[in-house]
Amino acid sequence: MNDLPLLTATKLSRSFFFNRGLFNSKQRIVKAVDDVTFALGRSETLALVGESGSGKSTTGRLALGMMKPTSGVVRYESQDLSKLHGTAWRRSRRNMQMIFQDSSSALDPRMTVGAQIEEVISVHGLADKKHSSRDLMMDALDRVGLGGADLRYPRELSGGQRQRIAIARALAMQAKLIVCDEPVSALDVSVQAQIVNLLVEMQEKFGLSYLFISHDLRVVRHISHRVAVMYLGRIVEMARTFEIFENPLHPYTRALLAAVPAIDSRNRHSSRTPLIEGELPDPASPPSGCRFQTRCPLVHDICRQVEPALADAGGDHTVACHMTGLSENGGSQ
Amino acid sequence: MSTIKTTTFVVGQVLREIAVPLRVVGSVPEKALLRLDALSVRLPSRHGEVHAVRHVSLSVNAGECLGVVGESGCGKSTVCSAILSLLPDNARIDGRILFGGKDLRTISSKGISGIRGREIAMVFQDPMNSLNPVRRVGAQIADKIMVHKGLSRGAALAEAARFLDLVKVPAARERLNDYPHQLSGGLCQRIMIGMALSCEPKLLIADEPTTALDVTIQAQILSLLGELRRELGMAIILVSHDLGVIAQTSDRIAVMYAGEVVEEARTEVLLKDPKHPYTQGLIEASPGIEPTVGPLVTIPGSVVSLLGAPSGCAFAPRCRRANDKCGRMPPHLEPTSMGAMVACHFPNGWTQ
Repeated sequence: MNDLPLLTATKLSRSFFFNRGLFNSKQRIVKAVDDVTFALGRSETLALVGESGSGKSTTGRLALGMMKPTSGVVRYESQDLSKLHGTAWRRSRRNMQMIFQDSSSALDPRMTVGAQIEEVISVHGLADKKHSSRDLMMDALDRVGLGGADLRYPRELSGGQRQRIAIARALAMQAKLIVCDEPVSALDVSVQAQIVNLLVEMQEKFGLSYLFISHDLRVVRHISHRVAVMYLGRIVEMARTFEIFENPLHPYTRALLAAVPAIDSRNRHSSRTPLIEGELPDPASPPSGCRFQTRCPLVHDICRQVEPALADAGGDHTVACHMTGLSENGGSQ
Repeated sequence: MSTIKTTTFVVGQVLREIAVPLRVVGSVPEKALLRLDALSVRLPSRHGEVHAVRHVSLSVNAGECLGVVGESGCGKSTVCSAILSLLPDNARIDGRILFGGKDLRTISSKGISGIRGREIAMVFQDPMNSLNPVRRVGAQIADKIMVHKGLSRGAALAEAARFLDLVKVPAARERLNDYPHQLSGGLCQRIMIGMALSCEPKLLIADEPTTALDVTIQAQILSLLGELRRELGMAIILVSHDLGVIAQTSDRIAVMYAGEVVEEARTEVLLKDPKHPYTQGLIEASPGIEPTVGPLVTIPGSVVSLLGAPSGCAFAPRCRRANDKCGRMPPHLEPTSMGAMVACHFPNGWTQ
């Protein structure tokens, strides 16, 4: 094992262009991801959290090379993904898999789940004399607790079981990095816990790294090592999970935490932090200065004019907010 | 002697009067705004009859918020549809649905339309699909007010604006001219709630009202519902799969499993001292915001099929305490201490 991160994303941006209409030549530009930088270590889980429209799914797709960034670089094991082609690309790509929220549309409805897993094994030529593709497939199914389900069709399985199949398929390809895009959001609580436990177990066994995209902070607290909070395409705070939950610095992070409907008494209504008002602004015309200024309870004049940069709050904790009293060069004033 | 007797009598009466609102289950039917009495719903399907709701007895008092929680397929939405007579014609319904003393099942369909929307209103999960995409939202709200209150279009539109103000839609008057696609999900849900409230219902049924929304917007909508309940004094049945959402808003919680109510208690009691192993599993499996150590507690297996009736307790195949009695005899809801009701042969704290 080396200490180099498995995946690094540097100054990643992605814009989408929309035509405003047949006779309007001006384009609407949405910067879905704007200047995002992060690193993901081996056997580490980095959670991306934020409201819908914050750019977390786009970041996940960029990290896998499923989408080309407008600018910025993604490096997987020190290789620039945009420079990889042909066999090299396919070889790296095999180790980078994705699990989606809707498991029924991620699987082929007309193929048995066993055949689908065998197919990816043969496409990537993973079988050899000792291990036939069938053996490898059975192995993968066993690991997710669905041994013997190989002849079933996706529709015959429950949502939780289908999500297990998606995990088995990623394992069969010897994935090292899995981008999980809201993998448990569509599941019932009791099943959700099973899948979260399975993901943790597989990580411990195979040293997997997860980029875990979720809006549910309760699951994130349980599964991730570090958390990046995104707002309108930017990372506004990033820290170790414990830090984010116990010592959140950005007012948006605090608001997100206050909004979590938890069973524990801590967040019963009349919570300490008032709920933030309003909704996510139009990403095509983000507010000037700090993007959160329109909803921020702490907003000052400077926030309306200058966009805060990520500043170091010590101990791997970075935050982009003028009101934390941190200068951009790090350390408190 | 007689004074003492009178005093005792008076004290007793006072105590009883205090006790009534504290009493949990619908043992005082005349106080209940809505009471379901052994409600059963059977729906035909390709594979046979689905017994979606089994002998559900619940009550909601005026001004109270009842939370109904359970996993998908537990029958919680079917109960809501049954209350509003929205089930398909081929559904077989048994039991009684008493609203203000009248059995809604015996009322003609014309009579129901006078109650549905006016006295009992409903908010659904997906606000975008609940609104007509090709009509302005103001016109849609006004339609409802014109039908139920008999106002002119102009007056109904003014009334619509008033209710959008009430649900804190910013710039309510301008929003009336918008089409649903111009509004965000959170705003649409506010409009749906405003529309539901426009006839000042006595009971609001909210079926997963915040499931499609972001947490920040969810928190806004939940606190809005709480405020409106206090202001308007209406009762709410809040249905959700998220125990956290239910815990924050409800006075009382009914836990459903496989078409049955398995436990019912006041919120604090249920969360602190769950009696049914399913409730306990549900609470333990819900990750909290507090730090956790080790794997999450899971409930093994998955929900049983509702085709045909299980011979014993429906939860038995997933229950760690189940024995052969559970496989043979279905348990019934029975009162426990603290005014809770539980359907389990061996509830937590059970001793022979």
